[in-house]
Order: sequence, then structure tokens, then C-alpha cells
Amino acid sequence: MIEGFHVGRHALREILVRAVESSKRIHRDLVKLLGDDKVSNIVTDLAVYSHDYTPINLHKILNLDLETIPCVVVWPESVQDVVEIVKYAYENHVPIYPYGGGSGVLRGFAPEHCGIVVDMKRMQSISLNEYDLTVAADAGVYGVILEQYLNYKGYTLGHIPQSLYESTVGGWIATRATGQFSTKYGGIEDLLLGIEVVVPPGRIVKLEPHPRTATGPDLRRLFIGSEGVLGIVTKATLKIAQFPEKRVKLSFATKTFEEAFEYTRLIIRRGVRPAVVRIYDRIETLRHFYWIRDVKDEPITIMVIEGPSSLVDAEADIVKGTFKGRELGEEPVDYWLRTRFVVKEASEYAALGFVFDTIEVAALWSRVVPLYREVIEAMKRVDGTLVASAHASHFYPQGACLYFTFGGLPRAGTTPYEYHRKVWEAAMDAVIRVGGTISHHHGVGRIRAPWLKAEIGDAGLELLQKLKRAIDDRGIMNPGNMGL
Amino acid sequence: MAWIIEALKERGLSTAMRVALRYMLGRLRGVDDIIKCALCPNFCKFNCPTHIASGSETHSPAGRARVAFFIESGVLELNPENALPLYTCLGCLACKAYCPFNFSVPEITYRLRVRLRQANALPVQLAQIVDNLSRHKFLHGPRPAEDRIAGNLLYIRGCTVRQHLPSLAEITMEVFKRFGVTLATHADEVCCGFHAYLLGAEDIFRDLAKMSIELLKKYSCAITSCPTIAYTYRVLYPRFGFQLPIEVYHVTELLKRVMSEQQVKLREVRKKVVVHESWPLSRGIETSNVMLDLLKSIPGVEVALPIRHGRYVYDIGGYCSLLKFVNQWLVRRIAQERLRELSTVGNIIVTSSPDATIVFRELGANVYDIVEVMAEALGL
Ligand SMILES: Cc1cc2nc3c(=O)[nH]c(=O)nc-3n(C[C@H](O)[C@H](O)[C@H](O)COP(=O)(O)OP(=O)(O)OC[C@H]3O[C@@H](n4cnc5c(N)ncnc54)[C@H](O)[C@@H]3O)c2cc1C
Ligand code: SF4
Ligand code: SF4
Repeated sequence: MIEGFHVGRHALREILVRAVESSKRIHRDLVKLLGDDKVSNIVTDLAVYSHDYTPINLHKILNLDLETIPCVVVWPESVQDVVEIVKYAYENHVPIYPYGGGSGVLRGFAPEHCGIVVDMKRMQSISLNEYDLTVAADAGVYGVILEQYLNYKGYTLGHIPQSLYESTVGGWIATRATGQFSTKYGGIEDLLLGIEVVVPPGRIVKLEPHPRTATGPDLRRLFIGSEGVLGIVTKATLKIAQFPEKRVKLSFATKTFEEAFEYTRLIIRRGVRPAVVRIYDRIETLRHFYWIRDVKDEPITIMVIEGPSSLVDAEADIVKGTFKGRELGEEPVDYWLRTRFVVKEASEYAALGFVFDTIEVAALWSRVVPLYREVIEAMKRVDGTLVASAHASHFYPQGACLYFTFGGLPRAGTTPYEYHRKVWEAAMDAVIRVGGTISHHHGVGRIRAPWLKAEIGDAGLELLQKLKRAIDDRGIMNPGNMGL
Repeated sequence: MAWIIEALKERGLSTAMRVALRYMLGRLRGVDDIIKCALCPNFCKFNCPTHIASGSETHSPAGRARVAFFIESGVLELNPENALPLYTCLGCLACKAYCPFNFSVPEITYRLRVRLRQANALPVQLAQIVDNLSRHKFLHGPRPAEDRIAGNLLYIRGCTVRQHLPSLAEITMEVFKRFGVTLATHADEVCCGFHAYLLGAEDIFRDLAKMSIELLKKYSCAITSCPTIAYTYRVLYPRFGFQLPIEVYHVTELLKRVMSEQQVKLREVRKKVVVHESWPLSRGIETSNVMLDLLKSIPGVEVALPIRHGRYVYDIGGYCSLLKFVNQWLVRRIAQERLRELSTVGNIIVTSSPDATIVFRELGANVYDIVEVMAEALGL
């Protein structure tokens, strides 16, 4: 028996019982439409589909504090199934919560009202076009399955988020995701050529893949980052690249974090595109590279340059000529490559009462260093914070992404949720003050929604709300997400 | 921890002490494995056959751990409906192949399954299996009436071969005869107990292990056609404190050995085959290269591997899991998914798993057991 975590046992049991009760009609109707293999309202499914991987949710699970229980889970197997679901939801005013891998970290998926969870993972087809260098993948395909398949055939998508093993193509588009190799291959928005989306009241919008098109505002873009509030992405056609012929791995120690930024800025502006660049601050250097002697006060930068052999050699020469740090060889990069998907700490620390989370933001070069300082200081000022650190992980000729981590132990009398909220408030306010963007790649979800207005302005938010209403006039698509 | 200590230095001594104390106490008490798995982002789920085939989080590794956690913490009642996701698990260890904690779902939920059985919370479809195992010591009901065949090496065919694929046992005996090895079969052969383990029926598992070991004691060596038996004997028995009195091999292991000792001339077999490995051999006892070596030694055979192979193989849930008895639909979907993958590489499948042979044949696939291919190469 697990001790000490029974706070919400009765309340949660009640909520589950009520959800099953309230779902009877919707369940019966959907079974009629789709067949009983594709629909469930059994209590174990409702309990499991109650949350995504937002770190604060780990405390909600532990405290049995999950109030977001859906009524029904469906697993469509075709775009026609998705159309039927959306039509039904539209006609009956039932909320829909699209679900990919559930790896979202901002409560983008949170079935707040008795609604239908649409899990896309039975839509798994992949179709490669080697001549055009494209791949069409259903929304429910896991990233790793797609990448393994492409590698087997001699290609890569180049989109390798840390959540590669647990996130889906549809989820990537919905959250505007990006991968660890984005400095060379770009984010999902750079890879997406064609898309198929089902929107209320149950219509299929199909935008074919083209190398480029000038047919008015690009509707593809409307759905990139739409987080399930406009429609359900069912398929995408993505660019692929030939599997790299050569890979060069470099790493450096510098006296300061700032110095590493400056060298990287100079490298990127010359047109060099390492696939991976990661600059760790002092604390994160210790966290990841504790096993290297003599780097205690020297931030580490790692780089992977890949592609055709001669191009890689040329890029590596420029990097070595520009980055003035102390070279540390391949080992730190190999270590990172081996461990890059592993997230063990969250499960262990949450169970010990520690609150951890990450916040990814971005800014133009001129603001990157002030952004780093302000956000770290803001997070540290929150009572209970023990650790605040960052690394930079995605680079552009004009700026970079900073990826912050904080960890803390809420003071007595403060709930984990209150502490968590305070750190987010402090960090978001600091980002807005300095002039960065509040999200680089995780999206908005329900966690960041309060700051969306500050980012896009009154008029911007109004436009977004109008768009939402125009497409989803009955407000059935992931209601509440992004504050919409 | 060094980075946390470094970060804490800035926070002052009292904070550092408070945190260290909390951490140490927590560590001393230990975090339950089920909790760690329930809170994991589910890294390994893309390789879990039941999850990929159903698309359902409840049929994923962390999903099962979450159900287990909700049962343990009293949110979900200890009843057959809630327990079901624990019995759809194939026990295939695909989760372990990717788990940073080195967990496997069947291992971390084992104690709970024992408790569920004690609380009579087994899904109703499994009552028959419990009865078969405890009364007949045989997965499929009463044991087939058989005469004992004498020989110099015990051949453990396995419940499923005896019941559903007796022709494979005959071919296997023929093949070994060619190498001068006479295989003995025994009517006292009982189920290895793998299903009892999955059921959390530890008493039955122990009985079956004891009976199996008694039989082994009568021989100097044993082989089996069933990969699950090889795994259960070699891995699970020792884990439960039973030492094997003799060596037990899968047929492929012994075939490889006799082939290397005797220079038998093999006929050409013109086949382009794709290999379906089974988890007990590739992950359980880590011998997947044996079947590949055997195939490569046959002239004319061209061998291809699917994407998911070796340690990362995607196996199917036939009779050697409980899924076959609780969810036929899902068994079929898992096998269809595997067939889809295999068919992108080749149309003739070779496997060393009788279970897979049966399920794939039911779906109309062109599948051979490795021993059948060997028989062809020997001109039998
Ligand atoms: C350990 C870990 C590491 C991560 N690393 C990265 C990283 O490197 N880069 C990165 O960008 N993100 C990262 N993330 C965040 C997360 O993986 C991404 O946001 C990912 O794109 C979410 O995909 P998913 O399939 O899991 O979507 P989900 O979590 O299921 O859903 C996310 C949102 O999209 C909506 N949605 C899902 N599928 C669809 C669909 N088909 N149509 C419409 N809406 C849909 C949901 O309703 C929800 O609002 C990480 C998360 C974790 C847990
Ligand atoms: S088995 Fe391991 S990797 Fe898989 S979900 Fe559990 S903890 Fe995570
Ligand atoms: S043992 Fe196999 S079926 Fe069971 S959870 Fe692990 S991967 Fe899935």
C-alpha cells in the first residue's frame, strides 16, 4: 500500500463515478456512430485521460487532486471518423479535447468539462515520397516511429524534440514544436508543407503540399500552434532530408555564459548552421557534466555539425576558428547524445515534494543576456525556490531560445500549485519587461494563457478571439485552452 | 546532486539543511516504483505492442502504472474491471528496453497482481486459466493423452505446441534425429508457469516450477520449442529461488551447436525471408542472433530484418500471454500491426516462436518456424 497520498481519494472517486454517469448518452451515441471498439467511458480510461505531462500535474496525480475528468474517450481510425465526432460534438454542444501523446507541458490538454477526448493514435499511416523528399504522416504517428522509419530508408526529419518518444505529429503541429536539431533543420513550421484538418461543424480542410505557394494568407500557418482550439489535425506532409553523411561533434568551455553566446552569434551570422548548439550556464554545466574535471566555473557549449561531408568540414573549420573557448572534445557531446531523452528526475523529485518545471522563451540577440539575468533573478526571488538555471538550445541569425529550469520546495502553508504559479508569474513578467517572447516552443496552454494578451496586444487577442469564433462558433474545440 | 548543492549554497545554510533533510528522508523511505512509473512521461510506450495497437494510454506502460497507483491509493476499487489493464500486458519487457529506471511493468506491478488475485479481483475470463493451471497443470485444459517417448535429451514442447501445433514437435524430433539426437518427451511435462506469474498466482507458479524441475532431474539436458519456457526456466525460476538442475536451451541454441559440431551438407533453400523474433529470446535471454545465424547458414536463404528487431523487437501476444484470453480483438490488432511492418520488408516470415506461427497463420500470413526451414534444408 502506498502511504501518505490519499488526500483526494473520496473526492476523486466521486468525480469518476459522476463522469461515468453523465457520459451514458454521449457514449451510446458515439458507439452508434463509430462502433464500440473506438469508444470508451470505463472508469480506468477516464482516470488515465485526466491530464497531460505538465510538471505541476505530477503533484495533482500524487495528491489525487485531478478535477479534469473527461466523459468519453474515442480513438478515430480515419478522417471520416474524426468528421463524425466533430459533427456530433457540434450538434450536441459537447466539448472536444484532442489528444496526441499527452506530452504537452502547459495543460493544453485538460478535459475540464464533461467532454470527448479524441486520441489520435490509431491514425498511424506513413507514406514516403523519396523523389519529392517528403513524408505524409497521420496525426497519431509517434515522432520516434516516424524518425526510425525514415532512418531505415536513409532519411531524417531533423525534428527531434526531447519528447520524440512520447509526442505525435499532430501534437507537434498543434503546439508549434521544435527539436534539438532545429538550428539546422528548423521548427515544425519550417517542415510543414501540407496539412489536413477537420474543423467544426465537421468539414475537412485539405491544403496540399507545395514547395511554396502565394495563394493568399497561408492557412497552414493558422493551424500551426492552434493547440486544438480550431480543429483537429489529421494528417501532415513534411519535408525530409537525406540522412547525414557525416557528423562532427565539438564542445567548449568558456569563462562566461555571455562569452559563449557571443561566439555562437558570430558563427550563426556567417551562415553556418550546426544542427545542435547548446550553451549551459554554470549550474546546468554542473548538472549535466559533473563528470568532467575542471569545469566547475566554466559554462560548457556543445555542438553537432552534420550533413554532406565537405560541407560539414567547412562548417567545422569556421566554428573552430570563431569559437575561442577551450576545446573539450567529443565526449560531452556523446554523453548528451546518449542521455538526451531521459527525464528521470521529475518522477523522483515530485514524489519527494519538490516542484520542478521548465520555461522556454526567446529574444533577439540584443536582449538575450538581459533576459537570462532577469528571469533567473525573478525566479530566485520567489520564496521557496532552490534552483534556477538555464541553457540556450535553439539559435537563429537574429536571436536565441533560453530554456530555464526551476526547482523549489514550497514553504509550509503554501501549496505546490501556489508556489508554481508564483514562479511562473515572476518569470513571465520578467520576459515581458525585457521584451522577449513568452514561449519559444512549448506553446500557451492553460498555464501561459494569462500572459497572451501582453505578448500579442489587445488588438491581437481580439483578432484571435474573432478567428476562434468564426471557425468554432459553438466553442466546442478545447474550450478554455489558450484562454479562448 | 552536485549541481543542487552548488545552487543551494546561495540560499544559505538553513535552507540547505531543510532541503537536504527532506531529500534524505524521502530517499530513505524510498519512492515506490509504481509511483515513479506513473509519473514518467512514458518514454517506452511507443514500443509497447498493446499501446501501439490500441492507441490507448490505459494500455501503455505508464498508463498501467497509473491505474495501479489509483488502485493502490484507493481511488479505483479492487475489482476485475479496474484490474483489466494489468492483464492485457503481454509481459514482453519492451518497456524495460527503453526504461531509464530499468523497470518493466510486469515486474513493478507483480505484488499488486498477487493482491488482486487474493482479493478475487481477477477478470472473469481468467478464472478458466487459473482452473486449467491448478487442476490440469496445462494452459489449455486437460493435458493431451500421450505416451512417453524415450531419448537422450528431454524435449519440452510447451502447452501451445502440444495443443495447437503438434506437427512442429514431430518435425523438431525429425530434424534432431538427423544430427543423431533422439529427443525424449514426457507426459509429465507441465505448463512452465508464466501465465501463473502474470496472474499473480504465486502458489500455482511455485507448484508448476517444482514439478518442472522434478522432471528435469531425470535428464542430463533439455530443450524447448517455446521461447517463453526458455525465459521462465532461465530467468523467472531463479528469481523465485528455484535453481535449474540441468541446462535448458531453446531449440535454436542446440541446433546451432550441433550444426557447428557436425558438418552436415544443407540443400539450397531459395527464400527471401523476413525474421520475426520473439521477446523471450531477444530480450529475455538475449539470444536473438542465434536464429539469424542459423538462417544465414542455409544456402540460398536471404535474410532481412524489420525496423523493430533484436532487443527492441515488437512481439505479439498469442497464447503465451493473458491477452489472448481477455481481448481477442487486441491480439489480432497487434499481430496485424506486426504483419504490416514485416510485409514492408518481405512476404515470407520466419520465426522461432510457435505462438507467432499460429497467430500469423490465422491471419493468412506465409510463415515458417525456423525448424521447418531447417527441415527443408535437410531434405526432410
Ligand atoms: C520530457 C519532455 C520533453 C519535451 N521536449 C520538447 C522539445 O524538445 N520540443 C518541443 O517543442 N516540445 C517539447 N516538449 C513538449 C511536448 O512534447 C510538445 O509540446 C509536443 O509537441 C506535444 O505533442 P503531443 O503529441 O504529446 O501532444 P499533446 O500533449 O497530446 O497535446 C498538446 C496540445 O495539442 C493539442 N493536440 C494534440 N494533437 C492534436 C491534433 N491532432 N490536432 C489538434 N490538436 C491537437 C492538444 O489538445 C493539446 O492542446 C517536451 C515534453 C516533455 C514531457
Ligand atoms: S517503464 Fe520506465 S520508461 Fe516506461 S513508463 Fe514506466 S518508468 Fe517510464
Ligand atoms: S511488458 Fe510489454 S505489453 Fe506490458 S507494458 Fe511492457 S511493453 Fe507493454
